[in-house]
Amino acid sequence: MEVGRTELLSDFQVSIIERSSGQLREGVVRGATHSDKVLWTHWHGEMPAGAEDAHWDWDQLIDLALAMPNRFEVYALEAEGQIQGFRLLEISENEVEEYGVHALRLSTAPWNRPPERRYFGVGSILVAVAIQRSMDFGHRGCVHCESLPGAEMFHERNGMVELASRSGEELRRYRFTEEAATAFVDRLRNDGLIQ
Amino acid sequence: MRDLSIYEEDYRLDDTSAGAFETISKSLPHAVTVGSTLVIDGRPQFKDMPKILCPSCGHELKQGKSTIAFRYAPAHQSEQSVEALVCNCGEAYVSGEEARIAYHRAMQTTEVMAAQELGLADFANELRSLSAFELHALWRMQDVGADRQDAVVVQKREAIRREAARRRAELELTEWIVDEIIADSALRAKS
Repeated sequence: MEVGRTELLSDFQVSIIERSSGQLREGVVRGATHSDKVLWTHWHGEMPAGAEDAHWDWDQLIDLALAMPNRFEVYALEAEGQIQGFRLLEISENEVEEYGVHALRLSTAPWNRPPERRYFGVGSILVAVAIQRSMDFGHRGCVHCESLPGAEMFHERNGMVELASRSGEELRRYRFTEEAATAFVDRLRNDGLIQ
Repeated sequence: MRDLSIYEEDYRLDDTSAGAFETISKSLPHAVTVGSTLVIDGRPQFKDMPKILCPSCGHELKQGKSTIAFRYAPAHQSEQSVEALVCNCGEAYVSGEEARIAYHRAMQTTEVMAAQELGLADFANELRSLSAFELHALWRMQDVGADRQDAVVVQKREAIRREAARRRAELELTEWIVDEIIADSALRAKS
């Protein structure tokens, strides 16, 4: 079912945690643009070996979301003058009505991954973006996703419920219920990552 | 005028699997999601890493080690351990790039010689003359439709990656210098 599109999330002020100092650094989540694709090229070459998302083509994903704004949204988290992460959401079609916004893809910059881990919180904030959009669309914060094996622990630790069925790629499927989503967002707010 | 309506549907008669899939993909919308898989213009983009299956037994191949023996290399280094996709059935598949590096290691030749052999010696210099967008386009060209195991492609991708990293470092340095100049000017204005 097609959801009437509202404006993209804008001026979503956030903070990420600099690992070396423990200090919060201000940032903003905004709609990704074509020019962000050049930055993705830099990332692509620096992905750590064995990264589960190294084969994702953000060039094409950004193009797709910009070409089909009624079905997809793509966001970039910008802080310290750099793109720290990308998020692709599906806001209509398939099971969105039943399970809430479909969190399709999330990547953080190579320097936010082991061993460097320059900033913490990028992935969590981009999860919160999906929850925020779900609330905007009247799905009460419900979000569902298919999890890469490396992210399963994150989803379980944050109270997401595992669905009985697996995806066509045999990935586990998880869902944020209204309560779990609210608790997740509250925690980020208490930690000062979102306002 | 000849009536062509009789030929209207004849493209559907390709009953090979490739023909059938092509026909189906043409009839799909621009983008379809099937769970975590995105199908864009008929091409699937999987969320998980595509699984590579053993051509011999059909089980999944895992990253591991294998050994290549070079008969004409000095005896103490004729056996080279290399990264490979290995299968429980005992088969191992080594990429062309890995095998090439192992060959040069065994034969004690250098990467420069390897680059010359592959005709890539001047490639890094060529990259420096490209704009950011041209560099990006070249990256995409190396990425799409190319066999990633091909040694030349791997070398070129590595050279493009290094050039992109070098430019980013330069950009950061430029930004830092500009910041310093601004700070300096502000100090001077105060004094």
